[in-house]
Amino acid sequence: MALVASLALALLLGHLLDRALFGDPAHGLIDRVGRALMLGLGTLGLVSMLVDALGLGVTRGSVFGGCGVVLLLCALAAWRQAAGQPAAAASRSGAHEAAPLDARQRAMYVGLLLFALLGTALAVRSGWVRPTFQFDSTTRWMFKTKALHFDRTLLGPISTDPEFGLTHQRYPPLVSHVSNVPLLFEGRFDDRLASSIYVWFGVALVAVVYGALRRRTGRLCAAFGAMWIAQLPLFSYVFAPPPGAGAASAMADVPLALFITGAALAAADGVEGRRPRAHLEAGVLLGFVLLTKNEGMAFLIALCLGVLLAAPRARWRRVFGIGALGLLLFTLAWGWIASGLPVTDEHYPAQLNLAALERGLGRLQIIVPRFLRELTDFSAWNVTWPAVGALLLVAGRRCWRLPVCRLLLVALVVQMVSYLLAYVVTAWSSPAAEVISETSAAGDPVSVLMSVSLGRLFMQVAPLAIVLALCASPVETRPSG
Amino acid sequence: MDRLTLTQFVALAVVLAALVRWLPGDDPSKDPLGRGAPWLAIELDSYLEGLRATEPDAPQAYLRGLRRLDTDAFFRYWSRTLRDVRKIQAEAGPETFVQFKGMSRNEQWQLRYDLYPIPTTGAFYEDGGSEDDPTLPGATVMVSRLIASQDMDPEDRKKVMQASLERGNRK
Repeated sequence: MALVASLALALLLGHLLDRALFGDPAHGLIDRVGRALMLGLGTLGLVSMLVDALGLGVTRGSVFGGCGVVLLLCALAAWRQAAGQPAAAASRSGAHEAAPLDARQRAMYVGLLLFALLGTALAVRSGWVRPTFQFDSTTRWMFKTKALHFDRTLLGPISTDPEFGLTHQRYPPLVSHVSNVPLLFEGRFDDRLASSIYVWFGVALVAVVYGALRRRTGRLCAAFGAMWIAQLPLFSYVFAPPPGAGAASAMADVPLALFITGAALAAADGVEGRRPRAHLEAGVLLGFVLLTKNEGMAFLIALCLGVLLAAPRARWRRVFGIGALGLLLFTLAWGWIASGLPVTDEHYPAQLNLAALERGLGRLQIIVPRFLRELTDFSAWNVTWPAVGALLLVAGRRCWRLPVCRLLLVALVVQMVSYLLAYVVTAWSSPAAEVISETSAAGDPVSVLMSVSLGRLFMQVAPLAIVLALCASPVETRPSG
Repeated sequence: MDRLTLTQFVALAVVLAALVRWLPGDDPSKDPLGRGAPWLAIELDSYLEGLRATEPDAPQAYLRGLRRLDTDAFFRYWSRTLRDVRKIQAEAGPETFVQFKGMSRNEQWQLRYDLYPIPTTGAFYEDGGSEDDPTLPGATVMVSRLIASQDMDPEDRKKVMQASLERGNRK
């Protein structure tokens, strides 16, 4: 019940926020639920983080009170909008008339949707049945959730005492705050309950991609995109390696993939002028990206560069608007707190300098082959990466000519280059890596780090790559209902 | 061949690749197409549900040992350890703290999560900590029997780690 109540709160919060701030661009139930979950889960975490940053104590009263204020403001704004612009609402709902599918297309559409549902259901069941057990999950995300439950804050010893350095104290903790919400409803700590909310970021991801593609390319392509993501082995059913890549693993990679994809799609809508306030949505979602994982900082650069190269006019103003809003949310909820917290060996921005790059260049002979092996690993990705490459090749110049594709392509490439650079400069080590280094021919801990993390990093951008490939493809380009 | 046909061909490959994983297969790790992998996940979840019916911590213990070379030994070890954790939590007072002896860093970190908010202390095995460390006054002691008996011979440990890495590289 606590999980259902948390999801209901997220849906309500997200839907009202969507209507009040972003003009509710969704078409159909799946799109609407996906957007509501994405915005709602992010907002729940943000409210809880702001409550903590203000020193109010993360309790049932403070968090649900904060959510109540947001709900009230959103409801008022949505009501005023509906009262003031009935014609706009009516025209919006009828903006895209249904392009009817023939019998064969309808059968394919239903089949693809059912296959997508199967993959998603598998992940949801695993998320409910499996307790948190992955090393990184228990020692970082769930550890912080547990501390939030018992201490009512993340500003205490868990974040400041070097003894708790194992939790990676500077890591942005949005997902830990979200997984604390079911515990606020339940009133007692239950790690299975707390971790079971993670998989719903994955559900939202599948639905958001479906919705965005449906509005851009049509129903059939949307169902195909949803199926592609929901049936990614690492997303829905492959257990390991690498540990923790799946939607059910209580790790922050799938939540990050959701916010990255959502932010990029919103920015693309804004660049193309498809709907008003898309840039505002991109900025808010970029804030969620920054609050979810350290990799979000690289995506800030990736997205801004994408917008800069794709926007037809007012480029710098758009970039500044999206970037500044994202950074503002990050700074208010976490950035100013994190600047005073201990640094770990995985604080990559501090390690990225010319000397470190020069030192680590030799590692490319380990890193590049490993990247290529991951891209062609059928057991983890099926044929995803070769298929994305093939679709981009077939699309040819469309990849660069269409603003949406240019934006997504630049964001994807910059993000993946940032992963490569992180491996080049990393100072990561662990007892396991030291043992390996003694015996391994490569003799470099980075090979150990890549074996446990590369699949997770690729999971963060796989949906973006799939959306890019489908947007560039010469398939249906007519919006359909 | 025009672009649309090529695109449809790639899309068909994506669908077939996803479908082929659902075909029955014995051991996905030995099958280049990974047939049967989703069924294994379903089977694992059903097994975990059964385990939970017998003991609430059993799924956690089972999963923590699942990727290790000696799965059964790790399962037994973590079952026993998590039972100890529950016992310590049930009897804990304001002065309670746990001292780990002879435990590796990673195991101590996992147990810190399990025991939180009960304070813990103890030197890592990697830093020279052992079962012979002096017991601190008032400490509740936890010792890693499994690691001490099986993994901690330096040569064995190297073999285990190397095998783990190679398995990760092979996928």
